[in-house]
Amino acid sequence: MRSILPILTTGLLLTWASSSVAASPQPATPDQVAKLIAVLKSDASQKDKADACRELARIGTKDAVAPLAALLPDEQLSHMARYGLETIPDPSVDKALRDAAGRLQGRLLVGVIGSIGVRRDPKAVSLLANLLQVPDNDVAQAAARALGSIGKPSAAKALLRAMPGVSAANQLAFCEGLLRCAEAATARGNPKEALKIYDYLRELSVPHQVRTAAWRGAILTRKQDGLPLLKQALHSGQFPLVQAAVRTAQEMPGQDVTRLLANELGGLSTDAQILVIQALTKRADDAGLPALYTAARSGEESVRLEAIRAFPQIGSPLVLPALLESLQDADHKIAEAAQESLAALPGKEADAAIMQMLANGAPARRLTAVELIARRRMTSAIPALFDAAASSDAKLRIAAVQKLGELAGPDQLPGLLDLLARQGSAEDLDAAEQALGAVSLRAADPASCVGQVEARLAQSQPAQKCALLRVLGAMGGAKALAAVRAAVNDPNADVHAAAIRTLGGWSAVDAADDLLELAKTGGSPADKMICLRGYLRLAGQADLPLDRRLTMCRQAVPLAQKDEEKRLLLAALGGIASLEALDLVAPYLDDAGTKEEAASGTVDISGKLLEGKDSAKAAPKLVEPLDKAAQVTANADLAKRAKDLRDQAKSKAGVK
Amino acid sequence: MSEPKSLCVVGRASPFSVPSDGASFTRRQFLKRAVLAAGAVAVPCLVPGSALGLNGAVPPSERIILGGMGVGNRGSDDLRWMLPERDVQFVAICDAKKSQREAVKRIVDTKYGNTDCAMYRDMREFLATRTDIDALLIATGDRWHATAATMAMRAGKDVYSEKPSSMTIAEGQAVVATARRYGRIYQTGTQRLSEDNFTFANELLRTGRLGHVHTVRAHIAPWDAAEMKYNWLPAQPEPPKDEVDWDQWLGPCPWRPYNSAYVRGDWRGYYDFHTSCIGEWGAHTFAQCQVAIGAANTSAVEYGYVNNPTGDGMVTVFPNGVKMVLSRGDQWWHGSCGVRYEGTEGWVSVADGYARPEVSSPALLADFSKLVKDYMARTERPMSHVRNLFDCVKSRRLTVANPEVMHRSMSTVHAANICMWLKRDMKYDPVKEEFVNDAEANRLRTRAQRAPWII
Repeated sequence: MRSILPILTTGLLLTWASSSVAASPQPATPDQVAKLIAVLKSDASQKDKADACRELARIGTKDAVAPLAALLPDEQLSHMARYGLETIPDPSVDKALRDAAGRLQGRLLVGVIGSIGVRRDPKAVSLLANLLQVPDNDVAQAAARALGSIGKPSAAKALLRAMPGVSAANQLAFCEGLLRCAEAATARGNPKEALKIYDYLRELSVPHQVRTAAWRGAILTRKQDGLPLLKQALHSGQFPLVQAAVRTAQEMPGQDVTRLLANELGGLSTDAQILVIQALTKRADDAGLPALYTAARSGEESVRLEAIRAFPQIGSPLVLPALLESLQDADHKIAEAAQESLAALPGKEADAAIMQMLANGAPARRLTAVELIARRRMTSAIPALFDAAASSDAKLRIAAVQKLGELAGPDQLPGLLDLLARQGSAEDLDAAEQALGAVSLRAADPASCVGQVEARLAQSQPAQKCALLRVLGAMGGAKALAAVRAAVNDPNADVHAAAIRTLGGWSAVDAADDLLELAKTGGSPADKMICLRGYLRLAGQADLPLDRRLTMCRQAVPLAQKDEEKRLLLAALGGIASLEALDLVAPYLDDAGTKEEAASGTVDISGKLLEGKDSAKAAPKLVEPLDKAAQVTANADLAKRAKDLRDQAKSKAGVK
Repeated sequence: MSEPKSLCVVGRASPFSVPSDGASFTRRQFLKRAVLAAGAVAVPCLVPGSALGLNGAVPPSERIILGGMGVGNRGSDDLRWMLPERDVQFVAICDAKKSQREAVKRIVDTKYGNTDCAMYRDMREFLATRTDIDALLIATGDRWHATAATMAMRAGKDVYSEKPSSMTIAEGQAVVATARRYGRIYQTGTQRLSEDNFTFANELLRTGRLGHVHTVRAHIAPWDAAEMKYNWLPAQPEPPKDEVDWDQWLGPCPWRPYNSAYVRGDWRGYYDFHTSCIGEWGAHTFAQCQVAIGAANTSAVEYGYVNNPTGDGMVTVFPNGVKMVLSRGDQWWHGSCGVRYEGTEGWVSVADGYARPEVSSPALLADFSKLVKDYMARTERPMSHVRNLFDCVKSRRLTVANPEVMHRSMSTVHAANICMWLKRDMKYDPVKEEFVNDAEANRLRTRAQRAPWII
């Protein structure tokens, strides 16, 4: 009888192996490796053996080499055998792979060659060289790349010998191999060997990317002596080569390279000039500045634009004259690019130049200066902006005030208030109001700002008062509210109206009581309407407690006389998931002017109630209103929704 | 069709693919020659000007010819983002899954009002024959991103690769080396590097307005875990190759039997296919943090193991001493992919869906516009990740999320994962790109790729 021991042992090993790869890896022990090897030698499944190979990649020792190598000819497990072998740091792996390469074919051979390449086995060079000319292109290509990875002079020699006869299908792989050899030679400190390859490839009829790779290598390996080649490539008239030359230049530090690029710039085609300008920009080296300066000032538009855009990246104040000159260029693209570059140019020299523009420039220049001050966040220029805000030039004045709104802080509030007080035209006043509002809203201490604004109310002219009230409305808070409320009683009609409107637009619920009061007792129907609307808008705020909103709506019911007001009320009620809200909505279902909004509100409220935790309790009371909503609405979708909810309510209520 | 007077019609340098004989061709001449040559790849019909808008219609020679590989759900979002760009023309899709190829073709053909979008199943055939394509959108899923990008760049294409853009440190190194070798333009899909709120947060830090920044927090995904799955789903019959090329779908990953769930999107959580919950969002947030703190060209050097399944709370430390803390859930943000920077004088916090970043003081927001505009002027990078890619395809400048940015941030992801898998603290040397005194961790920096998908 056959012993069951091997079967049991295999079973235990499999259990251990599969659990080991799923569980936490432990530091390798000889015992562990032995167990994995045993799996490989057993009749375990493909999966289990593959898992064992994966583990051996992590912890395998030389003891695992032979069992793994035995699987190299196995169609199903060859790859995983290599998976395990590739990372084992023992020379027996290389021998095993070489031996396998001598025996295998097709894909299995390609895989083994790949692993030889990964391990960079120098003893495999002649074996691989012999495979360069086999009919199987995949094998030949793999051999070429592997030789490249090995990178020894012998590998390069083998590839160079094979190149003259290489087929079109294999050429790219062979070139790849050679390029890898060249890189390896350079890494070894043998530039001559690398150059032999690069110069050879440069002269061949090869794909563009190989040719440009060869040129790059030839230039970089020569270092300073590569500059004539760089120049030759720049002037080749072949765009990929020009591109490659410029890219290569970016890998070469030093002013000599910068000077070469700068010197050649003017003699190149437009396309090439743009590439070189970009390279000079990246180098951010003063040696390139004169050429960039010249390029920015005259010539093809595209080249000028590129040079102007380079300036913020170079960051030198020496470019200022060119930029300032270009601001006035007849070509608006150039002028815009110059403005943007000046905006981004770092440094106090740029700030100073802009301040000069503001002080002494023609009107258009002064306007540009104001834009730039804001764009550059030049808070030091705030006093100058205040001066400009008093200019006789309306455009400049308004621009300066607008930019004060962007830059000024709470410390400048008194100045802005003075400014507002002085404004005559509606446009000026509006700009001052916006600026004041923007600055106030940014303040860390809003209460202090409110105090300053409020203090000006009494002494202000009506137009200014209206503006100040609107600013207080934007700022909000109890003190601002009190000031606006007081202004409702201002004898001036415009101020009164502004106060009413500001209150009507109040965003916080602290205005609710005032609004309700004014909606009841306000001077005119228009005032009442504005206040009621404001009140209802507050009642609809979702972040208020439900019962507060309900109370507010209830109080608004007698005041909502017009259809428009009723609709606002219904909109506010629609957001309140309560039976009381539903009761308040119900009467409006009978009103021709509001039935649609009432139906919508009924559906919204009922929908929320049916989703709530008390839905069973609420359900019976929803059936009738939903039924009615479905009947009164002319909107088919709304009617369907009402009916669906009604049926849901019936079901929850146990009504048939 | 007349020759343009200057190639700089739109004020930027022009791209074109040069045929293999290296002759001095313009794009227009190359296209004409390709059409006339027998057996040449079919050149798409010129897109009617109306598809590109009446104003400033871009001449064919100025267009970036775009293709796609593995464009599924996320990739389709990217595609819809790219298609409106007037100087881009999408011409072909390659996908292992037929239904996905057809879906992309529908999107593209609808956009252009024709039926010209070509479909390919075989990636190698696609790369070898479509020499007219300048750039590729790669959105295959984590397992393929680095390999596909490397193959594409080797074939002379520029690349937009969705994230996470590598599965291992070795893959990331290959992407960096290949991009550098061939001078390719590459952008990883960490698009928040091109969004104003996130840019503002970075600029606040860079301009010193937060004081000395000592701690940054990076959001990791609230689904999946750092613990990975190794099981196989039940085997199902493999569909016909034209419907789902299972071999290509797996690509460089270990073989396992087909199950439709994988190709429908249920590949996350598997060690072979996914970079864990840490990589899922860390691909974004680590890149953001590292760029912000001036660590874009390095990786974290210390990783503190945390005893939970997800890595939540792991503290990593960068060479400049800044701590980056991994954080899952909504403690710090009320949106996805959040980052938070904490300094001696203030903090800023931002995630998706924020109108504006949250800041320790409203005064910090006062210069929002200026900081973003200055950044754009200084870097010439627009607030559009795909526009940045296309500008760089033309100018050959580095993108904002270039290979180095990708590789270094993903190396931090991988190191964090390895720390969790090996359940111990780790130290990493970003110069040597190896773990310090930890041979076992170093062996996890790479995984053998399955033939023939070996880069």
